[in-house]
Amino acid sequence: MMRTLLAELRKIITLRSTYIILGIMVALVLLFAGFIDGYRATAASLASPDMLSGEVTSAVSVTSVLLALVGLLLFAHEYRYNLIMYTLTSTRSRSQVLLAKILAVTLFVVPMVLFVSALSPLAAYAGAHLRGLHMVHQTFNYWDLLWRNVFFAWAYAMFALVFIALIRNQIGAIIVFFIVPGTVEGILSLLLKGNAKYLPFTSLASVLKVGAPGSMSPGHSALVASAYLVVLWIFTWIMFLRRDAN
Amino acid sequence: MITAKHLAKRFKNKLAVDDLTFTVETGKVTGFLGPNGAGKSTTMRLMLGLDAGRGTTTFDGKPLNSYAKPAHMVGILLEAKAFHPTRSARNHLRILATAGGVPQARVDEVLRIVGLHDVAKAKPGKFSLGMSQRLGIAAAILGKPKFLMLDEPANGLDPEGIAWLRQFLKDYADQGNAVFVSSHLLSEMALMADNVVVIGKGKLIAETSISDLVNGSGRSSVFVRVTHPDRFGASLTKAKISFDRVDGGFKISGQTTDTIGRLAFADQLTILELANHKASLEDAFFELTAGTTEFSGDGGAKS
Repeated sequence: MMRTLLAELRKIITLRSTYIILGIMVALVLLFAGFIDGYRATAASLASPDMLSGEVTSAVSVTSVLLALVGLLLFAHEYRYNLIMYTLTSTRSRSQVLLAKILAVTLFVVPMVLFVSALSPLAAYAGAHLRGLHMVHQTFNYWDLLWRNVFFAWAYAMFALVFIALIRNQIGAIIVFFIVPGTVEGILSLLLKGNAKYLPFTSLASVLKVGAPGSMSPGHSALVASAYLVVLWIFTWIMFLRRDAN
Repeated sequence: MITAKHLAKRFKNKLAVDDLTFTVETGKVTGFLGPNGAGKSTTMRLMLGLDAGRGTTTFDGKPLNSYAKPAHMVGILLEAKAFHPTRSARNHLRILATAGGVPQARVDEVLRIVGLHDVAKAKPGKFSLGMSQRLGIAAAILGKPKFLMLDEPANGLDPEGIAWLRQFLKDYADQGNAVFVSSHLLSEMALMADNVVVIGKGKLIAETSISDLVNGSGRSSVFVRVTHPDRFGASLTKAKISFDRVDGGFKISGQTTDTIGRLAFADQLTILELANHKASLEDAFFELTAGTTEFSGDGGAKS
């Protein structure tokens, strides 16, 4: 199992696309947190004691999509470049391969979320400081911020992994990955109205948005999103064991 | 020894592999032959557990997934371009080495063996088909496996590369390993393989040694030219030996030069020409797979 996990991690760090995506992620954090929200901060935002913790949440909500994309590509390349035949014949069971991919993506996503969580408030603070702006004393509910941000990014990546494991086509999975959270759930929200909060990505979004009208608490939202993930992963696991590796 | 038993695979309405049973012996190169669409690649994938189907395949008596380090048992090359185009050749092999529990030092060793050491840091997306095949072979031998399963490894290799591959696989088998290799290059297979497994439309057609296959072919014949052909023709008929009259002589199938020579001697005829026309592997292959070819052209170059 450890060999398979190390191989998966090696796959992530030896890909050019990983570094391109991480570069885009850092650039976006510096642009939005550092320049727009920091350097060009409004008086109202500077007066809020939650300004910097809000920066963290905003940054994580955007960068989670990019981090999930790294996980999606890790799995997608197996099928696109037929590496899956090596992966499956190097290990004793397909379950090990699937578990190793989940763990590898987790081990990649969690430190990156922590990095973004540290970088975004620093960038906003530095941006404001450069322009000589002063913000009020900031408050952080560290543990609350930590679990919500980490869970959101991790769950987002897990949904992405489910898509590619089931679709087994890079382009198809990326399209679904971008269409489902916004377009599909948007249309379903119109039909479900108040119950739309129970949709997978809507509930996941509520983990980050505290106090939005009609939404569940972050804890309940996380439970709903987790329930979807458990069911989807059981289905994905069964399919991964049974299907041809191509 | 690799033992495949009752392998079967169906794609919707088409039976791609139909109850295949055969063995691949250690110490030998076994060729896997069949027309396009015969089910060779599917069979190899079934043997490795990559495709879901019926039947069992054991490697030295045990299924592949019962070995703690499968990469040390079986090395595979099923597709030449099975690598990420922007990940360097060395990193590609390092990943496979990590997954297979193979020491990282072996990576440079295999790159040297296949002649890719100078391009170890290059992106394989720019490799020629021949270089890609070499990288695939490097991946296959990474774990020094006892069994090699290679699907069309000679595709794209230059003549020097083909000669190198032939010698490499023969040497690999001579070290007590089993090599199972499919190829469309029948002349190459004749030089390389000891045994062959021939399939057509997913069914086993023959499982034998190359020499038995070629010698047993109806296309093997003896050509003889004598001083009095009519007298000799009568003698052949009397001996119930069928023949064809060609080029002023006789083409006789299913007989040896010894038999024909003695018959001419008994008739006190002078033999002007006596030659053994041995069928090639290609002849034997066409004979065996006649009627099982799924995709074939009309034979004309004009359109």
